[in-house]
Amino acid sequence: MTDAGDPLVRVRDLRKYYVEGDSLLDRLLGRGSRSVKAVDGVSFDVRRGETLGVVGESGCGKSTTGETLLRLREATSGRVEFDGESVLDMDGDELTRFRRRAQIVFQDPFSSLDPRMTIGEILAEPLRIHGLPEDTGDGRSKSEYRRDRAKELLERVGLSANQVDRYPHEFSGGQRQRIGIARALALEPEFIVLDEPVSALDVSVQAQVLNLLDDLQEEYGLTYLFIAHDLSVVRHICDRVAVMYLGEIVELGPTDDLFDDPRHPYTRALLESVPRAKLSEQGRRVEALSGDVPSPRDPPSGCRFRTRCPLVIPPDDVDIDQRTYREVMDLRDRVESGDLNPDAVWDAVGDPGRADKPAFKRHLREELFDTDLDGENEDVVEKALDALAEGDGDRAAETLRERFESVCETTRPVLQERDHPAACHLYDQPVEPDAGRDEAEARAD
Amino acid sequence: MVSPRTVRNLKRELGRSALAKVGIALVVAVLLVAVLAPVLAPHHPLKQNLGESQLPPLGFSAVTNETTSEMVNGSIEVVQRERQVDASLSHPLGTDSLGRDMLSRIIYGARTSLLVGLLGTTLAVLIGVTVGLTAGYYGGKVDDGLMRVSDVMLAFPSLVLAIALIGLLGGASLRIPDPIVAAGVEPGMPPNIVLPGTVIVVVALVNWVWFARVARGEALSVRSEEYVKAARALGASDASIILRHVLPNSLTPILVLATIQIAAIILLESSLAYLGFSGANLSWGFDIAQGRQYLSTSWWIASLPGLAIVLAVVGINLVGDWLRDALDPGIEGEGGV
Amino acid sequence: MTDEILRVRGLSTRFFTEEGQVNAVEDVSFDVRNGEIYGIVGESGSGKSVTALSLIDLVDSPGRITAGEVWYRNADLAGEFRETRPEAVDGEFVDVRRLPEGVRRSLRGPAFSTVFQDPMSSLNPSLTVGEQIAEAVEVQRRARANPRRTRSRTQGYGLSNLIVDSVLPSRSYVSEESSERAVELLEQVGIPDPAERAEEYPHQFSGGMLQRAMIAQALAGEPDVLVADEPTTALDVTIQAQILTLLRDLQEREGMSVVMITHDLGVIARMCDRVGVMYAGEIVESGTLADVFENPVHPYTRGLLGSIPDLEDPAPRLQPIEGNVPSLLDSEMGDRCYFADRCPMAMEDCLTRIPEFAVSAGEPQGGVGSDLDGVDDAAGGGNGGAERGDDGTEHRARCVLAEREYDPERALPDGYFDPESAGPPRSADPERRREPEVNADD
Repeated sequence: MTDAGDPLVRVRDLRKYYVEGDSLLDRLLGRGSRSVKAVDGVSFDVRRGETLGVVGESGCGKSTTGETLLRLREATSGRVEFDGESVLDMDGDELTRFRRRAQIVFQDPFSSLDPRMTIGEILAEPLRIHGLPEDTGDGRSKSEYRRDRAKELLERVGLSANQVDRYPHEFSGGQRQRIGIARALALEPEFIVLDEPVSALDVSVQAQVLNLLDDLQEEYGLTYLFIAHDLSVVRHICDRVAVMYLGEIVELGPTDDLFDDPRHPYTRALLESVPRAKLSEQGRRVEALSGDVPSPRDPPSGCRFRTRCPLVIPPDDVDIDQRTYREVMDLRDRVESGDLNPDAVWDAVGDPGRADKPAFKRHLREELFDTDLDGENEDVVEKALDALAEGDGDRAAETLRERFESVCETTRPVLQERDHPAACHLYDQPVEPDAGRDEAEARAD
Repeated sequence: MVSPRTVRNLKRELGRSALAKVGIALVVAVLLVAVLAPVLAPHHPLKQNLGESQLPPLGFSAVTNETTSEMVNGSIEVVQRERQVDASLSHPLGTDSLGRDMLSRIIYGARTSLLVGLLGTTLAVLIGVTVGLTAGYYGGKVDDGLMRVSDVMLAFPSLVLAIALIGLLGGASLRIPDPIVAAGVEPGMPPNIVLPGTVIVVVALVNWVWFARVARGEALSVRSEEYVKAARALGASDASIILRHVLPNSLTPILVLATIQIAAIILLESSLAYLGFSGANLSWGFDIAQGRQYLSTSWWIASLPGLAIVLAVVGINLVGDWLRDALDPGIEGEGGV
Repeated sequence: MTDEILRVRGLSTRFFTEEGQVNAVEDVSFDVRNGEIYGIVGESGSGKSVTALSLIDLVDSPGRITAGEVWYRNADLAGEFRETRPEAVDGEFVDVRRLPEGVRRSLRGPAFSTVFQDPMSSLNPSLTVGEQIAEAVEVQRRARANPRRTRSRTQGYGLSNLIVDSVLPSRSYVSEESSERAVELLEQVGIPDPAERAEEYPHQFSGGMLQRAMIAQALAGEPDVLVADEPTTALDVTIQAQILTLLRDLQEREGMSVVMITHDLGVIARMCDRVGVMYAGEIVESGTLADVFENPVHPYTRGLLGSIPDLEDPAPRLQPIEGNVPSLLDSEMGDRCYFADRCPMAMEDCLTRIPEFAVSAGEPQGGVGSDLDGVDDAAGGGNGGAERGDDGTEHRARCVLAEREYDPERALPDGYFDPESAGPPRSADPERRREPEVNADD
């Protein structure tokens, strides 16, 4: 690492897979199980005193990452070190000690507080669980001490100490989020995972809570892992940012670098998409990403973003416009996935006898291609369509793959060893795919 | 544990519903009768007096066929004679075939019914909630296993299962000295409360499954709440999370179910007593069984205990409805938007 | 000179709950012009969604529209009712709320259509997406064939059909043409392979695709006004960008007007021509995008803009609005500017109800004045067709700062509204900022 600031948390190649279809009934019916790769090999450091942002869209695995590194979910594999100790190997007392040092604040201010406990009880619970205080030292009983501590915490997060006997439902969302923060502070932790702490709040209240988090960090020297989907908030509060897509980190860098000079096409698309609350935003045409996020059950090979990427890299010897290239790739995707059914095409052509191949090909071209192909690209596509017309999908796919296969689908890009890496083939990737793996692992050790 | 809000809801719902008031009145009445049985009962409930058998309740009269043997012309003949029987003030609800006071029997019967209902339900709640919360909180294979067991239990008709279990366990009953009699208040009354132990265990074994189902469902939903995650992040043990967070937040539907189950268990006990499996000889069901053969001549022997069952069960169910409406999770808990 | 399609005047919607009367929408007036996107922005509990529901007359019990008019320009309708219901007609405009119930209902679809926030719960999970859109098309087709007879919507679908349909589930009451039109609509909203996707069920669609399908359904009646209530709030930012682009394209192509309701000032900035800012049930400031974003008058608008972290140029510290959104309980509202307790520039003048001022002229507007029941004035004169401001400005604010400078001399003392200090009479438990049981916004 080039930067100073030694890491408090080191995460290496962390994976969390969920197994689906593994219940008794599924097994009785002989259904196979399959895994959902929620987090698929993420590595990062959180340095002492910094705020590391983890940003991404729903389902990208950012919350799972936060919960897994706190052992709220069991990791499938990987390493998490907290202050040099391996978190995933902790048990009993070690884990209890870790819990005092690493805390979490959740997104939903309505579900994160037990509705049947008073605020005082909620804030005293952390101390009670850990049998604190061992000795109040001043004649107060333990429960008096805890209650006083609860009041102290309430005032620290901007609420009034005389609200200690109220129930959560008597507070607004923003106030409840403050209580959640107070609970996380109760054990004086060093590290707090903030899991979308302001997403459920109105903007005016969100700003209050963000300022509070800033103040607390300064006062107690806290280290934050800030999970969010709102890029404006992340830019405001984070020192460094990791961008996640489909279970992987695709780009990581100091906040200003990453926002001013986004490298990964996904990061760029995210930034482009955010509506700014400014007059200059009026009527801005956004080059929106097409399509949806693929399923984490069956993620794309190679680079996971390639199915939506506007900058997929064609082979060196293929000269093709990006839009046309996308159309050719879509054709092959559909052939390979069996999504393109020649029978249906013949029906649409109105030739169940399957004699009129030119009509078949014309139909497919009209449906799939808005752009014009030329030269050898045209010949290869024509050959593939011929194969399809003869009902040989495999040969069609093979033909297309031979000419058009991209490095983006064969090789999984990795984060480089530098301050602002991007897992994308547009930025110097290790030559051998295996070398990339080794390097990543070497880095992990 | 009971928030002021809960109390407010209970009061508001009570003010709104006349039925709830009726239910509470009935339940309180049955409770008082059961507790104060030795004081309230005019006679010893087991004391027979064949001379005063089959007396009708006040306000009714009955005609009995009296069979006597008489010397007629030197030979003994069996003579049937119709006799008008009038009600007696000292037996306001009449007497049964052995001349035992119906009112006293019904008052004492309330004890058996309530004891079995309350203790049986308590036991069922303990078993069911433990199983249900464990299954729901841990999920996975623990859940799979426990819920299959409960499915099997549910597949048996409850009465048949109860009879089979009694056959298996035998019919033990416990005798506990009656504190009121022991204190010398009503020395003439039965000195012991008879607790049909097997029946209590059996009705619990038959009914715990309902509690397990409900508790599991609640645990499943509470488990995914973020405050449970927060407690885990704070280092709380599973047992403490279940006791402090999952259980209190699952209690409302369990409580509502419990009231309804008390009524169901009272009915089950009566059925068992009626079929002769109870082991208690002071029970509403037992009296119905006794009165069955006199239904054509002395309707009150079977009907009055039946009416007592109806009143108790209806009362408890009305209280259950009130609790359900007042503690509806939609009202409870989340207050904000 | 009148290019409005919709003129909303003095609209008030109240909810009558156990906790008391909730003033969800209070005396809201605005215009929507032909072919524009009008934005309504506000935080949760501001009444923006209830405003949307009130526009299309879908407020459910315990809520009720208690006052106000919704003037909709439709020369045909105006002609039809000029004789029979003169009070409901003004020029080319008709007051939707005074039309007969059947006519009102028949306007949903061809006149007003809606897109809601949660596409998942807005479509029936047991019918294919194509069927549901085709059904909407069919309803409109039949309505056109037999205009404004509401029975016509279900005519031809009698008991016998119902029985046959339940026995033969494949039989559908939508016609071939409607099904084809549904596929066309799906294609229009950018769903790939529309013919195949039409056969699928909602759960097979992603969130973004569902929202597209919802939009297709809303377009079935070729509406004049599309009310979009938080149409992208449930979506990820890249999908949101797709949907916003789609909405703008459709709006331009179809020439319809859109009322865009959102909490996101960024969405407003990208999409809208003019905007109204809502707080506590009122529109506190309105005007063109430039008026409101560059030259905000109301301290709430300023506070809202200051609360948002800037993506390009982050400030070291945000400037939040202190305090919490008020409950809208009538008993707790008081006769003052509703924002005064959170306002950094509250003055003694703010302790009475504040009328709407035109920002440049500094004059109270129209019949609203200091008379809170300005609704009646507007209604009585039948001036639904009248221009709102005579001075040409559209920038209005419900704030004294629109007509005079902030005067620190007249400022309310710090903590004036705190429960401990001797402020105005307030509810017994002012710390309790719980919103009423009825979900006034989402």
